[in-house]
Amino acid sequence: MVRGDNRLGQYAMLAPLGISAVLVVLVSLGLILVLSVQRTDPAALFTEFTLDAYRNEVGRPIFWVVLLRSLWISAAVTVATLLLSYPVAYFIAFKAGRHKALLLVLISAPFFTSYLLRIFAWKIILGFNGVVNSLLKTLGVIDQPLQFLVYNPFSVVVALTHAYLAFAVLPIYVALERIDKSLIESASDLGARPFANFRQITLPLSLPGVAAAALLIFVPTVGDYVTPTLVGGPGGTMVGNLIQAQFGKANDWPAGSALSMAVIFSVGLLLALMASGIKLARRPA
Amino acid sequence: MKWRNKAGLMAGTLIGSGLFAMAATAEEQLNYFTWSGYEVPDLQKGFEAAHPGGLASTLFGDDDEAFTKVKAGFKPDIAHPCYDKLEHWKEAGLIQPMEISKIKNWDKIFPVFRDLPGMVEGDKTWMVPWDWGNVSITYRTDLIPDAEQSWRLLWDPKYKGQVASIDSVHDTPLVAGILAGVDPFNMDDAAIAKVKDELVKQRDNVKMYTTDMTSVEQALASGELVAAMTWNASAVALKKQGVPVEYMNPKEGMLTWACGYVMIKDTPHQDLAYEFINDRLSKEPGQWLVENYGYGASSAESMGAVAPATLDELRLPQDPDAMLKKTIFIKTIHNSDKISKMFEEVKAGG
Amino acid sequence: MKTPYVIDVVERRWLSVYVPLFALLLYLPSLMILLFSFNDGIYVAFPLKGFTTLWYGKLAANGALLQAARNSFTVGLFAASVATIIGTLGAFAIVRYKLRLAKAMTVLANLPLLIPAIILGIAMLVLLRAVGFGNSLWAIAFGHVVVCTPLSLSVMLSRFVDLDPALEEAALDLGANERKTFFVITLPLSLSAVASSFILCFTTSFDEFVVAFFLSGPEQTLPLYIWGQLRFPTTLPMILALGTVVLGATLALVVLSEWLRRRGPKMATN
Repeated sequence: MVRGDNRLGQYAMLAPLGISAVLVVLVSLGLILVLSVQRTDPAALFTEFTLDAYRNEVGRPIFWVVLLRSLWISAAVTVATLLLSYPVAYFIAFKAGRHKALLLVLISAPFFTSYLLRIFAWKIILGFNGVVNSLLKTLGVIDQPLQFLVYNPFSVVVALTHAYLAFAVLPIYVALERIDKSLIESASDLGARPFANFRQITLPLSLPGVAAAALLIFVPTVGDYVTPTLVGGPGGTMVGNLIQAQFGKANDWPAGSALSMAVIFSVGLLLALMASGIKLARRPA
Repeated sequence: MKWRNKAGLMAGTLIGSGLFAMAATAEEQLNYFTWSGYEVPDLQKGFEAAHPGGLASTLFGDDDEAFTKVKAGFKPDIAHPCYDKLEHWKEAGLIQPMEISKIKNWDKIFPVFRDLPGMVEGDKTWMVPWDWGNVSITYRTDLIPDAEQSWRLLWDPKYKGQVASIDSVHDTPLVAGILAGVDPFNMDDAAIAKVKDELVKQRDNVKMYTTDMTSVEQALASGELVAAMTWNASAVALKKQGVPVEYMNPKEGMLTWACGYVMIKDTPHQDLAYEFINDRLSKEPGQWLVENYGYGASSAESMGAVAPATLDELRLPQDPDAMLKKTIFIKTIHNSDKISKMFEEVKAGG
Repeated sequence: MKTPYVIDVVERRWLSVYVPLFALLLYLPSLMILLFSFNDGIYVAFPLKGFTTLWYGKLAANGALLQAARNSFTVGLFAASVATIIGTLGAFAIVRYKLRLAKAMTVLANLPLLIPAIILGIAMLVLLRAVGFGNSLWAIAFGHVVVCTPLSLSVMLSRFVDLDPALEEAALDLGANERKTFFVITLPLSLSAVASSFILCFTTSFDEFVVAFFLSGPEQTLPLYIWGQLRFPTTLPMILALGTVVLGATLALVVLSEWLRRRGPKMATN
């Protein structure tokens, strides 16, 4: 449908997206941009122009320590989720036959219970007298319960990875499902070895789904606030916690806004770099 | 064309019913912004009888979040923050003082609460105190047999990774201030630096900084934690479940908090607001609060209505005036924003 | 599955081990929720104390909790439907028509993923107040549409990028107009993506509470209720019971629809 006989209609399809994106996103961005250059005053939001918030808050080493920690936690979550999910998406797309819909719902069902509950479940599993510790004790691997399983970055990664499994399975499945099976079969007929087959046909064709999943997992987890609050412990603090604290406890909206700008800018830059890296890699040598 | 008409109709209906719902709630209803758990019907039988359906409660789980929401433009009529945040609400111009003459049971409030600094100005008050409680250490008597009766317990390297501390400027940093030997309510930069050192020393011991008492109590029950800074209700609940715990009376003193009602600036429902507050200060709601949640009531009448044995079990005194002379009242902390930032930095590992 | 290829055999063996393990991991938290919803003690920690159905009785009597669950459900359905429609139309327009602004729009539309939820919450409250709307479930629903739209857009984009335009061209050549082509060709070919988008949006809305906190009025959603109740440990087992009921109901629905499908005429698939 590359014919342009109904430009108006085409823009109309884009309009709802435009409204939600432009209105809310621009207002949000505008708000933090303006707030981030205000002088902090407990009595008023808009005072006078200053870059103090950037100098004093973004300039603090601890912010960058926490941001880096958040980035690696998110990266770990993204990689773990994608690796765990890909075979399952593959299975549903190619091996499940007419049970596809059933399996998709079964994959999603655990996520219809509230996330806060699932976090409590992870505390039971990883906790002091938890499932993992009891199992290891019974097997005779340990005498004393392991204390490092929960309230640290590790438990944040575990809880987030689990939380985002559906976010990886579904987009990857959507991409895989589109692949024409006859392509793979003809390659096999021509004697391609299974792995080469996968690497040269299936994987490249599923990449848009993998990329979509990676985006949907990596970006929101960087700023996640709930998980580190509940299972992070002191060592698992993430940028979301720092930002939240500035808006609430510290009552310093300019600082919170400046930190948000720094996070958005850093993650945006990282994504742009990755995108151009992928483009370069794809260019035929 | 048909699908578009249908969609249009649906959107119209949605927006229409939304507007209708808004119009319906704009009637004479008091919008009460409070802690989750304080909206239960048992607490407002009197008000509900006088104004059926006249109360709409919006809830929060943390009064810092509540402050942020009102600052961002949310407009309730009455809010229920704690006294230590009162300065924030005043400074930001979110609230207006109330006329004491319109508060019938003002005199029944224990003087210790009425006399808190920054509360009353002439014949007006910025806050009507309603509930209060203590903060101390709940510890496992079997795991710490001869516990030193001091806040220092949370700093003891023997219990590395086995204690929890409350994630609020007015609790953990305040205790650190007391231990560091500074005046915790009036800290200058040098004092803040001292408190920071103290907090850093504690950090390795702390498994979690939190206000989520569900997790804290569970971890105390399982033995994952051996001691934690908690409200008095936690110790009572744990004992009821058969967990061997004791609520400490530290030699430096327990902390005492109080929360109360503030009137949002320019509320159109002033009369309803006074009525509501008067009802809350009558005997029954306060009594219910003590008997069901284990917190104290500000009204002498309500406290007097509770059986002495119940108060004893809850570790609440019959006369808070006497007890509160020995505890450390959580007052306004000067420089609290700065201390907040320092505390966040410590928690994050700085 | 006409001919068993070598690749099939290897894959099958490997997947038949892996998929059940994955399912175990996936359902592990749900199993814990199930187990402790029958535990006779308020503390969710081992050792288990004894069997009870007390919490289910308490749940049935807890109007506020059930209402919060219903509210979350309504908000989730609304947000997921609207966000999926917006995302589908938007993604289609972006991929198929070479519109100016399309690229900028994609970036902008994805930004809610990147903006911390507290900022979105505050900004939307400010916006809402500016246009004279109050805090309500509607406000939360609209807020969640904004939060969910990028999810839908990403899923739908990845589908439409792969969709062969030749099919649509053929329909157009046969005289169908653009709208008809979209509904008869494009959409049916993308149903799995639409369903995926809907599911992701629904679960996101069902769990979201930072934006919901700022936009909420007297009616609460489930996560707001749970978050507020964390100070009261006695309510947790009731919430576990609710989680079990929700999971049970979902699974029952799955079984029911499977059963209906098998009984019904054999035209349901494809």
